Amino acid sequence: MNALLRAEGVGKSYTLRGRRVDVLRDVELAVRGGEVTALVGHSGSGKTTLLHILGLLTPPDSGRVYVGDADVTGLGDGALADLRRTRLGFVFQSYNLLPQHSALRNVVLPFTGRRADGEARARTLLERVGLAERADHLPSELSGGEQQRVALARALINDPPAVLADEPTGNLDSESEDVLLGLFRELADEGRAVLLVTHNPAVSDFADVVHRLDKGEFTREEPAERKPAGERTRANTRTESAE
Amino acid sequence: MNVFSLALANVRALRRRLIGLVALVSVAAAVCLGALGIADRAQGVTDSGVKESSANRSITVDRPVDRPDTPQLTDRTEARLAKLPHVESVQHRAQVSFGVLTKAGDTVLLYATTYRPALTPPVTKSVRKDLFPLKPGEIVAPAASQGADLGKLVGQDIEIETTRFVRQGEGTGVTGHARLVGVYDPTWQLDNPDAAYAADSTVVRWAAQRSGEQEKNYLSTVGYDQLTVVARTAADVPAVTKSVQQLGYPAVTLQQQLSALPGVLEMIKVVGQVLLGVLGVLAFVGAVTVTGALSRQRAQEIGILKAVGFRTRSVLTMLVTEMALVGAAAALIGVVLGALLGGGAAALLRGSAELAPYVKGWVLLPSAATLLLLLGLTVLVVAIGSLAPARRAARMSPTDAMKDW
Repeated sequence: MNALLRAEGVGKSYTLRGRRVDVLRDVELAVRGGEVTALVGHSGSGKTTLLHILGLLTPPDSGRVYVGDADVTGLGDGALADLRRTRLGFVFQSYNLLPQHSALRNVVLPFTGRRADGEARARTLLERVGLAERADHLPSELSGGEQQRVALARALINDPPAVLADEPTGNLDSESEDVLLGLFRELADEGRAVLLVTHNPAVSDFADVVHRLDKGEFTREEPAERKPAGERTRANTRTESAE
Repeated sequence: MNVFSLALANVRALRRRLIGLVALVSVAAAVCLGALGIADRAQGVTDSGVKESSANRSITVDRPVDRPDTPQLTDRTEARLAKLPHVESVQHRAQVSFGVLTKAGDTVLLYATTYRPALTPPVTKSVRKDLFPLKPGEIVAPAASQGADLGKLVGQDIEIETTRFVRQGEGTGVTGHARLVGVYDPTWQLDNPDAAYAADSTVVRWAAQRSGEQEKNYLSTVGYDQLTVVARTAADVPAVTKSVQQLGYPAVTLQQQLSALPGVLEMIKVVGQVLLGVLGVLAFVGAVTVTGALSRQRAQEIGILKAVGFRTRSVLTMLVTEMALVGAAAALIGVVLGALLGGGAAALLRGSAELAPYVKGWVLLPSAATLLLLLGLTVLVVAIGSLAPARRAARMSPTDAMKDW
């Protein structure tokens, strides 16, 4: 399947205390539909920066970014916002829900069509993530796992072909992690591209493709041996036990 | 999601954080509206007086009580002024105090006043259609005075008390009767609030009795207390006024006299206008401060909105709409508070006999046009005040805005 998101020769650097730090150097990456792709690496390896570049939140200093076949490098603020709204869905580690609004309203937030259609779709999505009964609850009234599922429903409101998640299980217990990863698998099975940034090896075990970043460069690309969520959880438990 | 409905939902959700700005603007609007409401009503009373018949062609010449060198306003003066160019007529006014004794045992002090056809009081209740000219012994009083409802005495013979001269500075009361044949709207202020119209002969008799002068000589020695010179046209008023003044008489056009509000009301009017300016500044500064503070507090929220696909323009529209809604809510609350405040202040002012006719009614608000203007201005000023901080917030990159998450 063709890549739904692609980075070509992407580079990014920051200036820290007057010193230039190359976060990404000449990165090549293709995220395909129907696959769960994991970006792994230790803290500061540049994986979140790469996710932000692929998610059109940050422009690269060099290289090109493609959404589908379209080169989106250098597009204006408005055009990038439109692409983020229609072609990409985001899930963040800290859920990033608006605390003053209900779960339903948080899900509807990026919807572009008629209000009634948006609410109907949001309810369907909340039902899909198992939160139909919690639609009118505020984020503060939901557990971390529930909030993250609301965030996932929000990411899907405009039916995007790609979903990007930054440490989506970072604040969750293993049970909630299983539920969420199961949902990511469903999305990939529907043909969407799912890109997960994680430093949790157990989560990367769950992915179809794993890219490892080290000091701003891919050190290796490995096709993961796909494991079901249950096995992954046990592996995760073993890893934690070993530590 | 529609940014306007999102803005409305945000205002409802964030109302506790916005309460300070709403309170500030609504209280300022209330004080401003209360003051303008009172001033507007009072000005309306005076303006309606100006529109009366020939009032806007009238020039008032008062007896110079504090200027002994100025000639008296006698019947000869009246004849002299009548011969001035562009003068249509000269109408005299004599006034003398008397008391009306009510059945409750109170005395209402009124001023018996000669009637001038150019300045007919607005009669609200009478025993016959054409009251004027009055017959000797008949009286037309204000409908209410000094807390007494005189309207219910119309058609009755009432007991009165006039004063008879004893010696300089001393008089004695003389009781008698008069017939109250009508009452007029007490907001009619041209001959003082407590004027009671009576036939010329009645007023001159009581005035002569009070002064110790013979009745037949009164008009040629003591004379009238005021003459009203009516110009042929409104355009002639300045020239006639000048001619009267050149003869040594203090003259003021009735239009000037009627347009002038009592001092307290004039001050309230000025306070209202000053507060309008203060309201504008407060609303602007409040909007800048609150939007700036809220934008900083909500930076992460703005980052999320941008991350999920909101354009910079949409975020800016949302933030400014929120502040405009706050401004509108504050202005509406201000209208309600202003009505209460104006009503309360008017109730206090009604305690003064001089001011009472200017502040009738319980709901004192400026005209609908003024209200709409104030509402629009408040919303506009608040929205403009929020523009700069909202634009700064909306232009943040989503990753910078979400850094704190």
